[in-house]
Amino acid sequence: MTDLDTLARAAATELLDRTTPDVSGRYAELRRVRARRTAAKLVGVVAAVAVAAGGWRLAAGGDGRVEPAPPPSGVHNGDLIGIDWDAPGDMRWWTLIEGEGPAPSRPDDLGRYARVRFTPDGSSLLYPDREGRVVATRLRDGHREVLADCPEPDYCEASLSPDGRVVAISDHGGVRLQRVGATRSELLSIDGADFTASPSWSSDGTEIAFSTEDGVFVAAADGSSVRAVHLFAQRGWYYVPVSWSPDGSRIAFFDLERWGDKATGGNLYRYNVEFTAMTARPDGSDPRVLHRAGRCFCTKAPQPALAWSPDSSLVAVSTTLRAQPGAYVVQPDGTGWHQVGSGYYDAFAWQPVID
Amino acid sequence: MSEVSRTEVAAPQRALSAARRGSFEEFYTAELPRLVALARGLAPAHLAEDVAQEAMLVAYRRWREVSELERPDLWIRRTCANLAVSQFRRRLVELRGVARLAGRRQPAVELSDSSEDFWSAVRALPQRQAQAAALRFVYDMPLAEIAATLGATEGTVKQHLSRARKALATTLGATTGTTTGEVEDR
Repeated sequence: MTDLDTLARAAATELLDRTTPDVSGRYAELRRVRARRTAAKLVGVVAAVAVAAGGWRLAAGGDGRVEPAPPPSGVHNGDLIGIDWDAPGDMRWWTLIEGEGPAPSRPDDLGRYARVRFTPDGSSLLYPDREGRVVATRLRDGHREVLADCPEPDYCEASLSPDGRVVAISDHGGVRLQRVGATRSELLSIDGADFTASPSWSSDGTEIAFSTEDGVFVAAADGSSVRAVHLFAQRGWYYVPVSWSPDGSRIAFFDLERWGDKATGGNLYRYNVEFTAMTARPDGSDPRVLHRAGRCFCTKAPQPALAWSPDSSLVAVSTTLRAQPGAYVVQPDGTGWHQVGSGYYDAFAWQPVID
Repeated sequence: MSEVSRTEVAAPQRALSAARRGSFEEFYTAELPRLVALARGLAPAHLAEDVAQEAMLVAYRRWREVSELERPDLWIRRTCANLAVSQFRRRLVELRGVARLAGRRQPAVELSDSSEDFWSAVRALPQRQAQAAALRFVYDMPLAEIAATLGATEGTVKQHLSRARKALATTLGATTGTTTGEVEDR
């Protein structure tokens, strides 16, 4: 039997001998990256100042409370859009999957990995842009407003409260809340959360659902409580999308199961994750499996997406199944699964149309 | 940062000298190779350089403060070790790395099967044990320096290393040289 110290010495010696980074090239790259990030930050500050100086307000003001969404009976399903995962180059382009579109104006500055949502009144699309800011673009005329800076520009997701007054944004250690038009924000701190993703408001504006590496959770918007809706069997790697039904009755999300990660040689490394679309009541009870949504295999692969229809009768689910990638809709109990579009989509948004 | 900022560890090192001269470039040049090795020991191979680079970016941004530390070299190792074991932070590094894929990427450091098995076993340890073990093996650090780097007591580090050695011996089918797997200081 070999001695551990002998093994360790040999492994460390080999590691050190073979680690020969291009120091001068890396140093030059570091200076370029630093300069680029500084520039991006300055652009963000300038934009925030512009908004604070009197820009358009989506629904600024109020006394701090969040008002409920319109009753579901007055809401109809508008356009279902999907974000193409395999659009050329750096483009994040969206496709009309169902509805009457195309909208007169569609934003072309979606950030990398951006998930999108319609504003509660359906007039604008909310998304993180390429500069790491939460932006609302009005579809009618392309009017574009910066609502907040992303705390983590490389991975940013946002959701607007039902009354359009507060943006909930993914952040380290909790969910960041920023009142529209304000320059200050506060962190809704979540104990044990390294990072929160995909915040989604409840229809009455009192709670926010989100995902972490551990599962799907709901927190009171005033920070008074947090509860688990669904826990993954293993800590995940991806931050799954979460969508609270507009009528408030259920939450849709993906369960994920990690299979063995594989090194493939060279620079690629596969994260082998299987996704299953599910819904559950907000207290975690009555979980229903909607459909298996496929696996995500490599460093740059589409993650499946989901979104509720505005009338809460359907969930749109994208799959990464190789045999049948596409957009599907299904009823919240898992019945009625059928395809509505083909291709790979890594984000959905379904437009509400209000009477 | 403050936890490692005022250590009493006094062994002079190249990186420390460089830092005292105030040149980030010299600090970078002195520290990067072994920092990449540390990251390679704690994170997937393809991420090692990017993890080390991300840690250096933090140091670059805060160089005025970092250069004032008694041991900037310990600070950067701690930053890198934390970055390497945090799944979320690694994911961010990866996203940035993928964004740069169109540009130059150096191939990941490839190791023999036995070395790869060893470092895979290190990565499978609980995070603090893995960090303590990697610092020990990559930098041949004494307990006091590992403790200063990780912001822990020597007793805690000794316990981490002892448990790490037992787990590694079991995984790799090796002997620890002692019946308890106890750690001797260097």
